Amino acid sequence: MTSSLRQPASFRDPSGFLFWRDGVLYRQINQSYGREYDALHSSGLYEALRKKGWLVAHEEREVPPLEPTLAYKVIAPTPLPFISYPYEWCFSQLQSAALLTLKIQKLALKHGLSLKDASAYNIQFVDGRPLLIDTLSFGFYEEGRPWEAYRQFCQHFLAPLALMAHVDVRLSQLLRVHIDGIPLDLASRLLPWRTRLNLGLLSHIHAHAKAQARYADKEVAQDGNSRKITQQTLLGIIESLQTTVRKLAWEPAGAWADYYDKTNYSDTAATQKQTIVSRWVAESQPSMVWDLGGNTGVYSRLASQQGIPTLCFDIDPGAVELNQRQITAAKETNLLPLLLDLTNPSPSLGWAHEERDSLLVRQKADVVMALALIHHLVIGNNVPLARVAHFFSQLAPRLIIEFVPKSDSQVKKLLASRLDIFDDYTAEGFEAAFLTLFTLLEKQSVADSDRILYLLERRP
Amino acid sequence: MLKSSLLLLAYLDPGSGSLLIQILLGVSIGAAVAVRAYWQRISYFWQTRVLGREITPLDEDDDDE
Repeated sequence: MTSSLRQPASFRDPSGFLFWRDGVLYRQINQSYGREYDALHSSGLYEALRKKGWLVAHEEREVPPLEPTLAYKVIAPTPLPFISYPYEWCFSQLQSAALLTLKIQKLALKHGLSLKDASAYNIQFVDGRPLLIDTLSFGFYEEGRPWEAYRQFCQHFLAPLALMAHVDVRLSQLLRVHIDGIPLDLASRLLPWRTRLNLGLLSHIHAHAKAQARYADKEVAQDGNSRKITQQTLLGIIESLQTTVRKLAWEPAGAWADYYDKTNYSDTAATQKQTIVSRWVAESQPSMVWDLGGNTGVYSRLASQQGIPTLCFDIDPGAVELNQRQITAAKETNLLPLLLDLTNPSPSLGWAHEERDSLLVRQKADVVMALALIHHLVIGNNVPLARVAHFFSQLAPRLIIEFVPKSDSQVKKLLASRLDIFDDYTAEGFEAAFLTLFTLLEKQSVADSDRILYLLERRP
Repeated sequence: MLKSSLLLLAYLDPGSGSLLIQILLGVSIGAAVAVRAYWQRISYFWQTRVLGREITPLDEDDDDE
């Protein structure tokens, strides 16, 4: 018996939609998009994008469509290891996704096509590089027309990048509230006045926001302005966006940058910890590893360098940024750093809570690592040990976890300014909480410290 | 009339203001693009014909990976 399910986030664009059948993800292309889909191939754009690694590859499949009355073709895109969202990206990830979108638009125009949307959700990261995943994003370009996706590009990419660069990097989280990108009037109000001296931001954010307010609800054709835009001018606007995006910068500075050089281990302890973690990962033979609180990814790389798709989550935008820069510089594969506050993980968002998945319902890991993290959750955030154990048991069948006792200097720091109300925060208390949900496979003390590493398996 | 041609492929609302600002920006950016194109031609002529250098045009979009 076959089981089919339409992908719930895939409903806005009438050109087609994604659906699952027997565990395989397909995209139905509707008849209304048939000409554009054929032009994507016959113009040579698909092949050019595929060769550059800018667009997800696909194969046409002779499988029954999910909605046969609408269907033109069914394609199977190359599966991706993990779907991440813009509010989980660091500055340079969002910037490279923005630049890819603009490069694709320029290449599309050369082939007589144009991006009809510029959603940040259409970009995913694979092996450290951004990739457009929406094969149906292209429409015919007609000389004289402005770019329909200009507003969406500015809301999804330029506004958050400008706010991150000029106000505070944490403003990327506005994308979690504004699912179709940050409204430009809001961005314009939040940006400092000096950004009006930047020609790109003045044009694409501030003046753009003013134009939106002035011409809201007015029909373009009735405005008396029948001027058109030549392709050369349109390319000029795209290049102006490129320059504006490229010039935006954010540096992890001060306390953040220093923090990563400080570790609480001797060289012997660090080497021993890495050897143990590396062996446990290899023995577990996972198809995906999540490293929670993974910092700049030192331990994540023990998995990714074994060829295992690995996600390195951290709450600190500076850590995610440094990790991504290292991946880009060394052209590393299999590692994706993402921003995540474990005490408030990405929720289900959008229409009917189904457009953007919560962390728990996306692709799952087989092994979760939580190294030097437990004290931040239990003592730093008052989450009881039993609740940490319960949440971790939902994430993966195997857990590599480090217990950091109260005698450790990092825990002492956390307790320095507060009352110690954590009587059960001991190795015994930890084991009592975790071993009700997990079986102990192996336990190792970390040399030169009081820390303990555990390899646990979820009870059936 | 412009509306129909502007909205040929939009399934999203592109926004009246967002379309018109492009037309307005187009005037200044169009002028800048034209100036740059002429400058590049002059520069190319000077480099290749006068100084006799060989120039391979760069595709900067492949460059900024």
